[in-house]
Amino acid sequence: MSVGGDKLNWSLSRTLVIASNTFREAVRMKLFLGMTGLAICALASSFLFREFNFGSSELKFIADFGFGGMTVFGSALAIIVTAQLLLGEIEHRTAMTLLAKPVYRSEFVLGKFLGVWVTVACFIGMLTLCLVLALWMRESSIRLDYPEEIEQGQSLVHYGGILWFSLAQVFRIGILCALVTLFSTYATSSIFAMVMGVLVWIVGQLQHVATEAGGVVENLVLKTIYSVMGYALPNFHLFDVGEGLAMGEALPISLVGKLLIYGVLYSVFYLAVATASFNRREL
Amino acid sequence: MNSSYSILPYALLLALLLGWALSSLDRSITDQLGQRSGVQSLKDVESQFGQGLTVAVLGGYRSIAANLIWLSKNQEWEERDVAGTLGKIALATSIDPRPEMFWLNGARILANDMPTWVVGLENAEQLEITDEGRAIARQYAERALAFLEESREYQSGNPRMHIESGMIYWKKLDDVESAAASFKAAIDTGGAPYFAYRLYGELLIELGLKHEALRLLQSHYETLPDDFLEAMKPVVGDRIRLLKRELNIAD
Repeated sequence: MSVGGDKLNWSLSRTLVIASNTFREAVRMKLFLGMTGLAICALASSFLFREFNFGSSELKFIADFGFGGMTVFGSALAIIVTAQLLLGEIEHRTAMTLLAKPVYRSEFVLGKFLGVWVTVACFIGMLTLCLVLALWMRESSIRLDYPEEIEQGQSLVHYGGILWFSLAQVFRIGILCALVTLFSTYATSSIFAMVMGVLVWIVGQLQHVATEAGGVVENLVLKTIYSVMGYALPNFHLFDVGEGLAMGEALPISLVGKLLIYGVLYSVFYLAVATASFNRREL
Repeated sequence: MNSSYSILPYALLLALLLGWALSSLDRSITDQLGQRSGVQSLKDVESQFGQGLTVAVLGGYRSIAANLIWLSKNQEWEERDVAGTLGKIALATSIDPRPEMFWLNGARILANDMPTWVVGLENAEQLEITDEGRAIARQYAERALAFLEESREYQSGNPRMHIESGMIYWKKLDDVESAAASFKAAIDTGGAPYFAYRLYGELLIELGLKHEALRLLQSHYETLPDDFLEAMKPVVGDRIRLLKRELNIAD
């Protein structure tokens, strides 16, 4: 791209300006506020439902609610907000106004991705805070009710584990946002991008079964289908690290590092393809 | 300008290459988390896809969904609706197979309650007296055992499943040998409650393996705490002395 005869350099600051505008726009969306409220109410309802818990300790039950909110609501928010903000700009022609200025399309795509990713990361952060608060309140209440049963200084909840889980979800959401960004760069409607995002979310959650099935079945056609599914999509199941984290199971640092590398590589790949796709798109 | 769709075939190829390149990292993370889904046959694929779908859609909320379904099962249980109760038990365990309570109580409903529902409460003694009644009791006991067998995939390392199987074999099917094998499996799994050892000892005695029962109870006695009522150390001690007397072994 040339401006006044000089080649325009790719600029991170322009990308960050787009990202910050996207973030401001996203947090003002009614959807974001509604989802946040809904997730917090769902978490609060775990206190009401604890009488109906049969399978695990009360604190784990509350933790499950919080983890459920992060995965379910976080994923839904990532898909909808990404599709709406990116495709919305294209549908309303505001993208043309922006791209008429000296802005690379890759800066636009990356800026949009970063803005949405930070928005959903903030959502997960808020939910994490609420979950930690809820668990701390209940743990304190249990200590007051049963002082002899619990040793002094013994913690019933592993709060660090909750933070690790939240971090894993941020990595997962990054991949999901990058995928929906890719779909949005060639989709003609936001519904298509959202539906594709939901399908990939579900199929990505089943990817590990397809990978193992590809090694077991003998039928060549099925083997090929399972193998393609296994290799073509990221494995979202890797980020389901939550089963026992709140109750003290350790998550090694090396594992967090591996999840980070996995998340970054897939996100960078999908963003690169999204950029290439958007460069070819007629607005 | 070319259409965006023209790069999709190349993108798919690159995605496959990336997936292949990251497959070792994927395997490394899966092994570290112990997340292998245990697919060994085409039949497993179907059940694992179902589980994966549940986790994908419900996430952490699956526990409350399963718990509410379990609660609602009580309606069918009160009405003695065999099909309805079975359906809700199957649904609860498929949505969330983690709680042991679903499996244990489901097996107990199958083995103890359902035969009575089939013959009617007023004819309950037929389950032990008539051939037809015994056949019904056996049928549901075997269904309970098959149900507990399904739990192994999700409850491996839980001795209580083996204990429950052992009780069904012993009390419902009069199969002392299989009951003893189940209790042994519970003890070998680790973390078995104290009574599992005592009952296994009794089963060995019923099978005529008194020496083996004595060895088991003696080694178990050494591990028992003195001040814990549930351990019933004096009771185990008395049983050992009785066995020694029967076997003419000096104290």
